Amino acid sequence: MYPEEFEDQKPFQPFAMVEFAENPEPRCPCVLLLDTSSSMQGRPIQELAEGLERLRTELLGDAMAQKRVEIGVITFGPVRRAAEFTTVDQFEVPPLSARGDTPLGAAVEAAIAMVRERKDQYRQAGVAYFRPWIFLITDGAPTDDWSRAAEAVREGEAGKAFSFFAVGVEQADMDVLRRLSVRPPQKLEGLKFGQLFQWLSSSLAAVSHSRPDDAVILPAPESWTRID
Amino acid sequence: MTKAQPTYLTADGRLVTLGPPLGRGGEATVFTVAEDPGLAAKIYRQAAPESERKLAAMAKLTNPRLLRYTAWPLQALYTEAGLPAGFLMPRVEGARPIHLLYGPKSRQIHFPEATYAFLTHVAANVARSLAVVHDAGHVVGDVNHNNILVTPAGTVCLIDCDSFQITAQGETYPCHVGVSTHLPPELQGQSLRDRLRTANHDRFGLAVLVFQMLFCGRHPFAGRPQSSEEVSIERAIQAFRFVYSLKRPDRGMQKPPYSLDLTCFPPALAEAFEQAFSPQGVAERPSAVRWVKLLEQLAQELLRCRQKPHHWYPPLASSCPWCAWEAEGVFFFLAPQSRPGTAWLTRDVEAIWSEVRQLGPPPLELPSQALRGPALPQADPRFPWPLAMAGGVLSALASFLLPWGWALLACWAMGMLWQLGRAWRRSRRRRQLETQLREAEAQYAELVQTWQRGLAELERLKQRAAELYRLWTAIEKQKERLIARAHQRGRQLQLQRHLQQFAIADAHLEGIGPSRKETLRSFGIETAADVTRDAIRQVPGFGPHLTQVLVAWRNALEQGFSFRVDPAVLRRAVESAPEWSSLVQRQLQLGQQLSAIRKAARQQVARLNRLRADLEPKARALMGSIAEWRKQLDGREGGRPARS
Repeated sequence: MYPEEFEDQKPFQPFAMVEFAENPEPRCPCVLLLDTSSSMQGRPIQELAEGLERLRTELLGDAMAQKRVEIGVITFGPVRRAAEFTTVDQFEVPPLSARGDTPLGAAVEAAIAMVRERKDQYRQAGVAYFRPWIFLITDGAPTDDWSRAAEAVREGEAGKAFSFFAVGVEQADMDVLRRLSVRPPQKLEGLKFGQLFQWLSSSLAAVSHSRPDDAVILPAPESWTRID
Repeated sequence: MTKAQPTYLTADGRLVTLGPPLGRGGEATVFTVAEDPGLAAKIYRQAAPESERKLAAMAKLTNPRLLRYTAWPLQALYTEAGLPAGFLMPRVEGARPIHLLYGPKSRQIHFPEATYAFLTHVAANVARSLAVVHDAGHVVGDVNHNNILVTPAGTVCLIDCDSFQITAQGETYPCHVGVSTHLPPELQGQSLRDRLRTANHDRFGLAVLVFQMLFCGRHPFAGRPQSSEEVSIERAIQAFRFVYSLKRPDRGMQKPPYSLDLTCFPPALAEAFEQAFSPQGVAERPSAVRWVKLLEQLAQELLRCRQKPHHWYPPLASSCPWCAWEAEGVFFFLAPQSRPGTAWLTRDVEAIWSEVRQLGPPPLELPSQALRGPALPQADPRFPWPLAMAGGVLSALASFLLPWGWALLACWAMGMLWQLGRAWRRSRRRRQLETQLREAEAQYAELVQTWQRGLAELERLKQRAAELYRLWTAIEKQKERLIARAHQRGRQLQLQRHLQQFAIADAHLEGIGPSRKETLRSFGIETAADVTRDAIRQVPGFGPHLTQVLVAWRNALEQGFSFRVDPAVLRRAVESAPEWSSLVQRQLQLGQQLSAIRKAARQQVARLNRLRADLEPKARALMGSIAEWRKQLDGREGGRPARS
């Protein structure tokens, strides 16, 4: 581990605290962990991008959620931070292109790290925050070792460090998702990304209006899920 | 003409027609009221059974002082089946939730003109509103950032009054709700159902809101934790860990960066915060009236920055805090010239337009058969002259030829006289009826025309609004194009910078060795940013294949690029475009015109509603007479066909 005497090095971010001074509302962070492996090519990736745009516009309609919900995007593979956390008003849908394999384990670990980093920034800035969400959308079977990631997800959920949600698309290996996620994974019906992101937006808005350590009752996901 | 809108009834049987919705909450939707633009109707999706008595009690408690500070329920509303549905309240116009004012970022959009002096003023008004509710013996209960609205003029209005805890005639109607960040420690983690709320509970929420107003949106219990523990606002409230306290050194949290100190404020005000957030506060916190006094005092003592006159700041700060923070890139208050030139947001304009478009009074309800009635018979049927003449000649002949013939002639003469008299009376009565009928019909037509003139005026206003809206959207499109262009330029610049990181000299490129790379360098092609098909075509020795290698390399690098928008840079780029300010100026005018038209249109609808109330009974009376007279006329002349 790290030496105790000093803090670990950080990137130079002279204006990192500015956004929190200008908007000190409690934050509700959500990482979208998106599978952009080559199997997503064509319509799936296009629908996914449109879904993201829908998420943005829906959240923009809620004055409070707009100040509280923060979206970050990680795409895989390869694992890449496609968008750092920003509040919805400044969120831009990153360009998505389908290529590469499905390093699910590495991606999940990257998301957990991203969340941890952001929480540290909140604490530095002295703003309160809600439990972060990690929202995984994948259509394939992992091509790397994901046992460590699954362990980290279990730990994080148990320690209330974050909530992990998994959604499988088309031929996704639901069995892997069941073993990865503590919460039961959902299966997307067809390519109903629009409904999925609309659901995500109303869920995040509901969370952002709740008390930071409250259990929130999420809307039923029936509009986009398939029960096998 | 207008589609059927849902209607409700007040307890005294008045009909209330819903207009376009104004807003939607978790349990209810608020609508405009077609009959009166000064009112709004809150309709529950599922009316709680206990709400009926509470609303009726509240309606009785209405008074002018409460109405100056709250959207107090005026009358309960019922469905036509008599079930409780919601209530009528005064409509609050142009006001926004207070969090949009105290959050610096949202303030720049929704209250661009607001200074620290304005914030202090509004904070005092918030305290006033609570003082008025408390003075009337009630408790707000759910004091929070969403149900206090602030107008551009700095006055406030408490909404969602139906959730207040109301005491009337010895009975208390409870408040079941609360927002945890504004609930006092003694209510944290407790069920709010049937819990008796007190003014002292409200005072905690008030102190939090005043704090948020004076400390630029910071929450008094959110800070930088000094250990790895996770401290939620709720737990900090319960543990009395007021982050800014000068009296409690053991808070375990530091003040956030770029936030004011409690020492900047007059000691009495600082002490009030300490009291409100301390364990002693559980017994008694500073009252709303006390906050009014303290904030009025603060408003008097605010200092004004010498460099930037729009900077007002608390009296005990050593220098202008806003200037100091601006130097570090944090902007709390916008200078007048750099404010986004328009207070008219697209959303506002859309809302105005959609309201105006839907404005329209319920149609005039008139029995319509009158105007389509049968045409009046043109004149009296002719007196049967030939018959009468023939009778005359016959009886004259008879008087010569027969002994008693003169008697026959006399009979004829009398008959003639009687007939002539009857015809004369009948035609007089008929003329009279015809005159009355024509007058009534003219009056009726006049009424309908008055109504239609009113409608035409409304239509004219709507057309004008449509025109203004069209102009507005055209400008909006131009602005979007400017933004898109700035965006594109920004992307291009960043992409260029991204590609410049990749030197050709360091790259592994198939078929391009050091000497070819040197050739490229001599043509100024050093990084991926310099690689274009056209540039490479100029370089000797680079045919289609090598060009393709280079371009593919560049394209692959481009794939790895992701554009990060810096909103500040984008805004500067957009606002420096020469046409920007004139577009914004034009929109400002259009927005003002549109808003003026909305006002006129609303007045016109109110006028039409009054007119209808006046016209309908008159028209109905006229119609009654017209039908009656027509029957009389038809009865004389057309009676036979009716009987057959």
